[in-house]
Amino acid sequence: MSGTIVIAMQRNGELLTSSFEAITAARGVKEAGDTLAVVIVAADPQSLAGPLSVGGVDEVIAVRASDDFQPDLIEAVLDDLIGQRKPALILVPHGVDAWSFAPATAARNGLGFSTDVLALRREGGDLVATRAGYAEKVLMDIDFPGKETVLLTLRTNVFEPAAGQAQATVTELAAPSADIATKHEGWKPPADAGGIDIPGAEFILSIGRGVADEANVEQFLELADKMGATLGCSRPIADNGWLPKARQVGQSGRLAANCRLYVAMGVSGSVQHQWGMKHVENIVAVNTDPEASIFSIARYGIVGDMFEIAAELENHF
Amino acid sequence: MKILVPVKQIASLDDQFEMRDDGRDVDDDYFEKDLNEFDHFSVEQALLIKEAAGDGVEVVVAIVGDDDADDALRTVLAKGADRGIRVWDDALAGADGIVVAKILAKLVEREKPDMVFTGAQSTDFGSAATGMALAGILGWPHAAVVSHLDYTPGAPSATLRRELEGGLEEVMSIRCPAVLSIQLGINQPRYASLRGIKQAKQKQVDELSPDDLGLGEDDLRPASNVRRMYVPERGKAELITGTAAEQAARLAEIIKEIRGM
Amino acid sequence: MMAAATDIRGAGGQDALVARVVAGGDLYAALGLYAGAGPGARAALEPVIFASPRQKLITAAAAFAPASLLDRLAADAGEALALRLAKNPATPTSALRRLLGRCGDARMARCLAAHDHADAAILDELASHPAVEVRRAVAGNPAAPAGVIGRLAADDDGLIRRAAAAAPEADAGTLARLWQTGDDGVRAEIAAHPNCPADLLAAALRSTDARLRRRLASNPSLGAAELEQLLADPDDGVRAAAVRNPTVSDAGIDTGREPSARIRRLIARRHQLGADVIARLAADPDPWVRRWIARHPDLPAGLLARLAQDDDPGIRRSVARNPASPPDLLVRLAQDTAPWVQAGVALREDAPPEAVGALLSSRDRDVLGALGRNPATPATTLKAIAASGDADVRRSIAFNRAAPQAAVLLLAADPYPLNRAMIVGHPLLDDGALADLLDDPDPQVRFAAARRLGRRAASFPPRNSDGKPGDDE
Repeated sequence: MSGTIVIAMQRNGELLTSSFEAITAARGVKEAGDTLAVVIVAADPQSLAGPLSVGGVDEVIAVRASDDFQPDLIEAVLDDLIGQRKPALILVPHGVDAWSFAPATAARNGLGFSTDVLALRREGGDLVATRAGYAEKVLMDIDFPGKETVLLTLRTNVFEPAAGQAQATVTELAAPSADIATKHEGWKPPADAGGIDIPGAEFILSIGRGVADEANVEQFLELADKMGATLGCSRPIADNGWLPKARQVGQSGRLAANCRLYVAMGVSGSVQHQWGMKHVENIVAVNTDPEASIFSIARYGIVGDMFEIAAELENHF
Repeated sequence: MKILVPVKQIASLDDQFEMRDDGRDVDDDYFEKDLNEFDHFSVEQALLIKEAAGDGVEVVVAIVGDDDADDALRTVLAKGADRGIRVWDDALAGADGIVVAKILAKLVEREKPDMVFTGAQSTDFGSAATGMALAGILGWPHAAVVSHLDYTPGAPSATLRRELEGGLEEVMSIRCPAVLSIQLGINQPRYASLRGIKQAKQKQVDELSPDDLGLGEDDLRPASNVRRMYVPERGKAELITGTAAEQAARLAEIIKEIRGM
Repeated sequence: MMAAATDIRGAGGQDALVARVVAGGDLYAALGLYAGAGPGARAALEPVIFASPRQKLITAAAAFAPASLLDRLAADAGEALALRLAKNPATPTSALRRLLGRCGDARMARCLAAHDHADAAILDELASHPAVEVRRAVAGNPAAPAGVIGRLAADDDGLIRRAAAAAPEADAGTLARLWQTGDDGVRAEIAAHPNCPADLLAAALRSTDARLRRRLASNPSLGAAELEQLLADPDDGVRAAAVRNPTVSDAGIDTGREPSARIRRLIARRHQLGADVIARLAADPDPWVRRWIARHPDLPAGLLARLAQDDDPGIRRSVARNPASPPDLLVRLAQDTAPWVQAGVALREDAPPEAVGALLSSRDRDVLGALGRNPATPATTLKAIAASGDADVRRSIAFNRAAPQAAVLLLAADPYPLNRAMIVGHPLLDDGALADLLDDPDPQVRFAAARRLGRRAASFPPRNSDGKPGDDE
């Protein structure tokens, strides 16, 4: 019941940065005398062992297998390590791969478990993790009474990636025999559609009722063009026939699936609209009404007139 | 041929709410309850398979929740699922994804489905745990965040795509039966017709307790415990103040920074 | 259900409707009926609405809740309820005044200070609040009277001074004092203020700070000479603001010398332009300039026809939307290769039958959605649109006052809840269909149906019931 294991993740043989973030998190809650081991499953794990020997890592456990993601194999590795080493803590970067194997491992082995953890600390010796709830409206501190081993997935881009050379020993482990039920068949890169592509757009400038008049719409098409954004809109604008339905973001409309920056001008933020964009990491809301619900999901808010802001924005692009 | 689709009723909050007296959850009065968004897609996927195969496929939906959760269950029955199962006992009030997975594993033993579809995550807590935890308990093949699926009922394997970070998709084949967690956008979920809503009221819903499924107190212990719940400091947008010129200048900076311009 | 529907037009119809909603116990239907109900009916509906603390919270936050009900709630509101009321834009002044007496924390006071219905007395009281964010909200409330703004102008807080300088009620004296004490941002707001004294306008005009001159250029009380100077300003942003100034006369604008396409685009958007300016802009090399001028109502037929052949579909769309476009041009644009141009014609109620006819076979969702809204579209097409497989296309029927009843009824049974919510307001929706919607699974549909039925019942006293549908709103 001691020691921490970090599961490092790779894709096509390249380590994900989030692996190093997990090492930092592990070090932050490590108790005196505990060992910190990092597991890497890859086709050439030895070549990744060096880069993983950072930030106070004591041991790199190199498992030679395929570079393909095989949840069954990682789970078998974890089952063995949990049985043999009885680690107190296992940390995994919270990503799509972890979503496959972490809950399965936790449930099968009866571990303490939580996902998407934002912060980690000790309170009087107890491990306490923080995660968000109710669509990020609250935070909760959680602990794991009576659990000998705790497995947590860690939100990415929260912990600093570990740096600084360490003197880790490398243990090579044969891949355990596992019943592999999945097979990698290939990759499909993100679609690169021409024309109006709300789902594919990385940067969307979106307008709502605040635009007030059909002729005003042109101004925002022009601004979007200038800024390199795709123009989106809320339902009433498309219903009025002022913009093509292909530009409508929301439940009746399109999902801004690949958007990283969403600037909403004069959009009140109905549930309908939010459905299509609330997941976007960087939402900027511009609205004259400081109580507009769009502000509750925005990262940046501007209480102001969309036309004034748009006119001023033109001076910068 | 049978597909089991476990669904969840999620709770959402608007801007103003208060904590419960024990400080470990939000006061019930402030919850708005609804079917989890992702579950519209998992149910749709099952219904599409059912429709493509003719009538030989049964779609069974299951939920762990109190009386309120009946609404969510009837919502998916109204879309065309054949029957429902609701599992509840007050002892489940603190159930997490792992406990729910244990219950679902018992339902899988009972129902013997050929496939299980869940939502990739829930929109309230986003744990992304229940479906894959179920697969872990069952020892079934599993894949998370499925954004495309080719599956013929009864086939020994299926081909799917997993949506990874940044929109990249992995094409993967998987042995069946399997547990798949379904991503938003895999299909266009239907709305229930008004007739479907009326019919849903007549559809069979079995009500079970953990006890009925042979689960005891020990099985219902969650994998974590909430010490306290609180509102984060930065719960709201960072307000950009100043004149329109200053606000726009800051906005331009933000845009350029995020766009790497 | 049909019984309830026909009942509302007979004797005691309103009572029957209230009784039905009370028996159903639905919050949203009760809210819908409440606004138009008399005192007796309100008394019957209140227990349904206030059935639980949760329902009170929902009502307090609902922007569609009747003002009188919010006033009732304000009478004995706990902290959470009071905050919701303070944030609700529908909360009436009387309720805000009640809340003012019991506002413990600054957050609540800030919401009251920012409220659209806060009157001079409320703002006057809150202007002395110890919390700076409350005073900021007062200064930013356009209803703040001159006296309050004058007091706030002396505040130490920079943001309050800035908001005071931008306050519509700020008088010349306050602005003059702010000019002395304020920073560049404050002075920029003063330069844009319609009440800005002449000497400060002159000072702003001489300023070397382009940001100040930009704000000055937007001031509606500038004289012709000052505007002329600003229209020739070396800074693009200043010229842009001047061109946008509604008081600029056409004579001051010289497109021939204007090097910036951005400014020419703004000129092309202006309403009053001379024929020669319009002609020059219609031949501008910049496509956005042509796009704007193509919408200009004074564009002569010859230029419209020329722009209708532009390679840029955005420009052709603008011609299709120009009210001055003659019928023959619309017929031609109805056959455009770009569906978005066709959709522009399909939206026009004045489109000639030949143009509409050319569009009827389209499968494009924007064209169909536009036809669906257009009262000039033949009834058979509207019925087909109401049965379309595309929910967004079907919804267009809800916005068409000439939609045939068959299409309206189809939308009232639409599987997509939003489409049902939209059709509730349609004049051709009969009582029976509305009564059915009282049991709709979607709350907003139940609310809207109850409100509409309530109004109909109130407008049909038994003595002059003529059974004509749809003339109640």
